[in-house]
Amino acid sequence: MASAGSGDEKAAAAAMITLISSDNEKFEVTEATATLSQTIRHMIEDGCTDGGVPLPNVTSKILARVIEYCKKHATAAAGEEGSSSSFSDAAFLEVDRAFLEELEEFDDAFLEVDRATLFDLILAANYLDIKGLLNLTCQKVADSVKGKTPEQIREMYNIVNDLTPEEEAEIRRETQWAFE
Amino acid sequence: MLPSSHRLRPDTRASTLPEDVLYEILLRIPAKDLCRLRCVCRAWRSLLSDPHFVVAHPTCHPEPLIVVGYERTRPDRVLCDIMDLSGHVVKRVLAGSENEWVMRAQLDLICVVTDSTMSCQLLDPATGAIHALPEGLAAEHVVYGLNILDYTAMTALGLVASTGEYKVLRVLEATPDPDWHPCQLYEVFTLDHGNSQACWRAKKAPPYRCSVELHYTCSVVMDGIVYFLLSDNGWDHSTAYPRDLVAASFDLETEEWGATIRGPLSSPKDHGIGASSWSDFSMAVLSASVVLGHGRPSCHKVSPSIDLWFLIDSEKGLWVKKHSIQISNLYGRPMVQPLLVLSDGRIILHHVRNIGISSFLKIYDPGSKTCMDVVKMDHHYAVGLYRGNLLGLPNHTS
Repeated sequence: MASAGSGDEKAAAAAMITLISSDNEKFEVTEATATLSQTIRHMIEDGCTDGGVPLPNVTSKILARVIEYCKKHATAAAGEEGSSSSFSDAAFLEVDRAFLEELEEFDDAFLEVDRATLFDLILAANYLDIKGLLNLTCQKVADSVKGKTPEQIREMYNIVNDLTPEEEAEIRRETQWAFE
Repeated sequence: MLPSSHRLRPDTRASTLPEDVLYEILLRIPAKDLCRLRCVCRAWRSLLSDPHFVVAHPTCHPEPLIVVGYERTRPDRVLCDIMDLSGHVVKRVLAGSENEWVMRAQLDLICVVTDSTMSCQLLDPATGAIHALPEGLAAEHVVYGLNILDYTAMTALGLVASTGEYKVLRVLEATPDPDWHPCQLYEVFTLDHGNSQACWRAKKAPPYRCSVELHYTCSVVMDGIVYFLLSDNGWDHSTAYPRDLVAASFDLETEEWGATIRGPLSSPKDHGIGASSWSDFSMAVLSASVVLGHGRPSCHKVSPSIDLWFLIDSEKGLWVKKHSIQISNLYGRPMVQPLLVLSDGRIILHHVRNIGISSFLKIYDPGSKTCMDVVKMDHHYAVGLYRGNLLGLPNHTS
């Protein structure tokens, strides 16, 4: 990302993108932040971001959170690029580790949301094609499913069991080991 | 995506994730959980049994699992456990009969031996599919007048890249010390799904008047070549260290022995104090290189350690010592089998405390030079890697 270079503040400041949520709220973000989304990156490349980018699938509440995530991760990415030239290797590694730890803490805190918000974040990350955020949120849901019984999963997600008892018995027989 | 027939409470719009997102989430869940989740509903069952999903799943879980095969003495008839790198048992496989045990685990197949008949089979732990290896000896080997039960055996399974064939090299060692027949016999078998009449084929002995070490930690297969440590009679006991530790190689494609490979240790100081035996050495494939592990006893208040020598050039016998791992809380020489190097550089080791009684799975961090126990294992015999796909179903051939 050329415009994310630390010494190039003028260019970065110039390249602002306006994102418009489904409830018509406008968010001004830098190009570096916006292009964590592959969907928006492609729109910028195609030159169709003048007058703002409407995101009819994302509410202002969720978009604010998504932007919070992108800002943090865009800063981290820019910090890595910038620091590699100005620090010695050892110092760079130290800074790098501190950055990663801070980012991890941010991600953990970011995920402290209710399930509905988490699912909305997943949908937004999927629609906007933000790999890091999709990975983070999907992993959070995956972790909450680990170790659960089928009954518990149905309960958690209000899924009706449409398998016949015979079919269910067959599945259990096929992979008996997984139920032990 | 959940089928529309599902009645959802009004507050649960969140549960209606599109199928591609549900796919992304389920990919991140370990195989054992997924096999259970096939029971949730029809939509989940069909997604989780979909061949595309089954193939994509391991790419999200690149860290291999560990197979721990137990001794036949285990009272609960557990043949082997497949555990993750935290020591959690992901899959437990029970023995079909009382006298079955695991000789070794290679290429995601478990070589199961039945004691009473010395017959071997390769078991796919995911699907339960069995490839039986032929009973008895190769025809050419019957002439020595011994029965298969008079031998101890070790098998090495490898893939011949040019033909895509799986081949097994079997080394048989006569239990009574023979003076009128060969000490070791060598046989090859090509795994062929259709042909139940196939037999073991006798192979010549290695051309260097030495036998190979039989224990499973003393041989390894890489790129269709089986590497063995040569056994005792290549060692000079009078000097209390192997005069020149040598490895042998057998090419599964040409079915010929290769030249010997000089070991990395050539002077007494390389070996440490006291006599070496086969159990001080182990072979492994780490980072696509043949590796010799060498256990060294404690010396001048320095903890016992294991040196990992990487084979750089087999023709010149060029080895490079890349790691020297201290094993604390131990007397004597450590018996350690290196298993794999993780993507972050940490190394998984199997440390045998007492053969057949107790051993530990350890993780060594080369950055901090520290070794941590992950899990303690009892009554283990053979330990190996598993990179297979546990999502496989019995009726799917993977």
